[in-house]
Amino acid sequence: MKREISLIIATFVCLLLIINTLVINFYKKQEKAFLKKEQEQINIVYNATSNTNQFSFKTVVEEKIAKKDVLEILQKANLADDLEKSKLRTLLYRKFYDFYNNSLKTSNVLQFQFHLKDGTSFLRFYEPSYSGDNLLQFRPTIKKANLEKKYASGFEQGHIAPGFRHVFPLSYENEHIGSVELSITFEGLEKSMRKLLSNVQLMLIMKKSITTDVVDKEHKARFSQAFISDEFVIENPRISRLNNQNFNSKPITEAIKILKKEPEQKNQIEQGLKQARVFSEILWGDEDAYAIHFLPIFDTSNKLAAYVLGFKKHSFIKDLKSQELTMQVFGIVGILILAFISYLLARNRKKTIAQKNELEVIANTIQSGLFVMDNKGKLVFTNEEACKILKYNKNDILNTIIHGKIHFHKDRNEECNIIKVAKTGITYTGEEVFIKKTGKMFPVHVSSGPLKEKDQITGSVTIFRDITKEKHAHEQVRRLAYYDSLTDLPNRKFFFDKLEQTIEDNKNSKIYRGILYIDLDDFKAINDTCGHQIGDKFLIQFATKISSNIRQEDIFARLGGDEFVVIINPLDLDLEIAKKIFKIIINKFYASLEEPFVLNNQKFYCKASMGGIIFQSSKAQSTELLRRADAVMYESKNMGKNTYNISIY
Amino acid sequence: MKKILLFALLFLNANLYAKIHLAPLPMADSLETTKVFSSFAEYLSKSLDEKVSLSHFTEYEDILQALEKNELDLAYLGPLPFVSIHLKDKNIIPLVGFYEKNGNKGYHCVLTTSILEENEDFLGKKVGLTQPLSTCGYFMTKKLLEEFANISIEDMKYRYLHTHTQVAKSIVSGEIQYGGMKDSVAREYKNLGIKVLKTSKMLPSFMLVANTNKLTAQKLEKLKEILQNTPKEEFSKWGKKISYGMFEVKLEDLDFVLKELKEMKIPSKGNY
Repeated sequence: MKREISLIIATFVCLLLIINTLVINFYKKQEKAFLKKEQEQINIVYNATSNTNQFSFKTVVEEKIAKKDVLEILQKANLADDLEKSKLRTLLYRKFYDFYNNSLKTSNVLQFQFHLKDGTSFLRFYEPSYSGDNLLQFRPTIKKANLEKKYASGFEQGHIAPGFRHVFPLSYENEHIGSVELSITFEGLEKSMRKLLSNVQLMLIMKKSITTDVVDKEHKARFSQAFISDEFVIENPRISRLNNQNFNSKPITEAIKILKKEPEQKNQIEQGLKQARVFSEILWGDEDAYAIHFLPIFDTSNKLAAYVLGFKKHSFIKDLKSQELTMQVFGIVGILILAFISYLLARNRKKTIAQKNELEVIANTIQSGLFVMDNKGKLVFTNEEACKILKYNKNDILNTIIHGKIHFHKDRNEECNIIKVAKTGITYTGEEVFIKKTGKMFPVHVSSGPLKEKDQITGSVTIFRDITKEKHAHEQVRRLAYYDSLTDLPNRKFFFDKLEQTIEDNKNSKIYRGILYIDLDDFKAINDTCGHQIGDKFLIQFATKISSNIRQEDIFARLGGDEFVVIINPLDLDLEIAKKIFKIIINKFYASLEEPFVLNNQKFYCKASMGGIIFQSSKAQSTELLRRADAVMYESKNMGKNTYNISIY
Repeated sequence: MKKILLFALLFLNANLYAKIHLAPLPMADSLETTKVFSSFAEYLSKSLDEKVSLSHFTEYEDILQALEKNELDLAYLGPLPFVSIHLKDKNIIPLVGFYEKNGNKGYHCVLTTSILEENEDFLGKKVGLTQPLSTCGYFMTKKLLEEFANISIEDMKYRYLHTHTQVAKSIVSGEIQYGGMKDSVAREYKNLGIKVLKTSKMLPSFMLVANTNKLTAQKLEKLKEILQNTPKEEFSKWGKKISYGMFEVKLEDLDFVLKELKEMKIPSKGNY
């Protein structure tokens, strides 16, 4: 039992682990799908917003910038000396001073910059005093706009700060004269993105390689270390309105707290950042769950430049987790209940097996055949004795419908008593004839009872015993009781039983019947002279002779010694005819005795005195009939022996 | 990493928990000011092992009031604002001065215009000033106009534009025709056609002043020691204006400003 319990525990622990794994996997998938959906949303919104900027900037360039007076300034600047450049720069500055301050800046355009055709910065509106530096090698977008003369865009580093650049080539009178750049801050992007993303706090983290590593010294303070990774910086919250807000918003402050507590999770994030992939992370606070979505931003040379981070407090994820926990609890409780039931079942099974074994032992111990059939007649159990009696191999008959092969029915139309048990539920006990596999029929004593489950008959159990020997013994006893051991003729008791039965059976019959009392004449002399052995042989021969001459329906019995009796049944309705028949029979007997008996090479002649009584059953009484026949026989003896008389009763 | 996180948190919450409050003079916008002074504040925090936070003011007057109310421990001031507050509270004293880019222990205020201004006509023209308490504001621009064009500032239209860079930008944009600013700012905007008309005599440098009402003598000494012994590789990392080294400032160096200030009434608002 201990082994079984251990096995059950091991099985259920495995089951528990499997269920647990399945539940976790299921909810992980749910969570993943949910996060992926949000990631995609952020990605779509980011791309849509970037594209919108591209179109609006293109309009700005076409409508506001690419004008003759502006282009002329830039064209001249390409050829001017420093002093002239200062004048041209001032003119350009004056042209767009209001536009930059009142329109572009308010639209979160950080940089509005003109470049000469060699890639030199001509005028930065963001920092007008800073110009003359060549950006061709440093800024791929400017290189593309000025060498390939094509619009270029992307997130890109800068001498002051990185930005989402849009650089448009400018030409005047079919001559390329430089480019103009409009860079939007992340704050600008975020403003547009926020309109489409509810409850998501957005933040930009930038690689050091495009910020603090490359901006001019005095601009380094624009950045501060990103809390999420050493490799990234954020715009200094003192400068950035967005980051200032972000660091006062719950998802981000909570995320910082959680990551501080969970260095492993932080490492995981750092690994994700290094791989430059889109991913999400769930942070579990004391009360709430927060999702951080990481969307990589690549620079124009397709190198990882920054990440847009989307922070969101998630009741859904928390709900999912609660559901997961609930499922796990249910799973555990369910498994425990199942385990307990299994334990009980195992215990019961063990009991049942023990009982079954006991039953089998009992069944195999009893000296009777036993078989159990279901209510369709299929053999579901049998014992060894049954197989032994029927000469069948157990495996050959189990689970087969064997009944037709083993049970002999005299009347094929009569319903089988054993099969009936499973239908009626009534126990049957009786003698039947079974057939062995060899085809030999033999008598059996059968006891068949129904099997019930909740008042429904499910089959029958039958115990049977081969009673061939019993029958034989019984027959022997019967013979001893009813037959004469010397002559093998029915004895006195048999005679009286038969006579009484004949009288009883024919009480209302008018048919005449006869009783013939036979007494051998001088038998005593044979006994005395030749010995009892010869005497006995004599009696046997006499019995044989008479027996061979009686009618099949008549009964010839020995009453004892040399006294015999014959019941002649029937004679006839007509008395005269009855007498005639009676006489014919008697004469036939006498005729059979005319031949001498040869005993020990000696011839003996048999003579007998006979007395017949003709009777009708309605009037007869057995002892009286015999007494009267005896009396008539004595009359014959008195008449000189070896003759007969008949009297009517 | 832990240190970085800690620093980020400290930085974010610096205003709430800082023990030493430092206010830079708003010579440019707050971003510019942050860029210049954040590394400096970090260095002080680290050296003092005490939180030093930056407090931002847009008006000179507000910084001086904060000093007066003992809300600030340290301030980066020009000579005029310092003298103004020192006249009111002698416990506000100079700690160190900052060398200019050219190695001078002082700077000049300049009267500027745009190279696009062809007629150097002053009467009724617009002049941009930084702030009333700015040395290069009304205080020196008035003097420079008198010296250069022999005109009283009151015969012109003047207004305060808060910062030196804004004065420069306003000249470049054509909003104003003249302006007074620090010579270094004028040099920065030379590429945008800022032309210097008149340069003042050398003025005492910008300085870090200490509020001894708040800072203990011990801490003051420690601060002096830290600043005077700051290696070049450290201060060169600070913002441009303060990255050329420091020197000890004596009150006598400011006598000229003190004298002029006593004779002058600076209007708090422009006249147009």
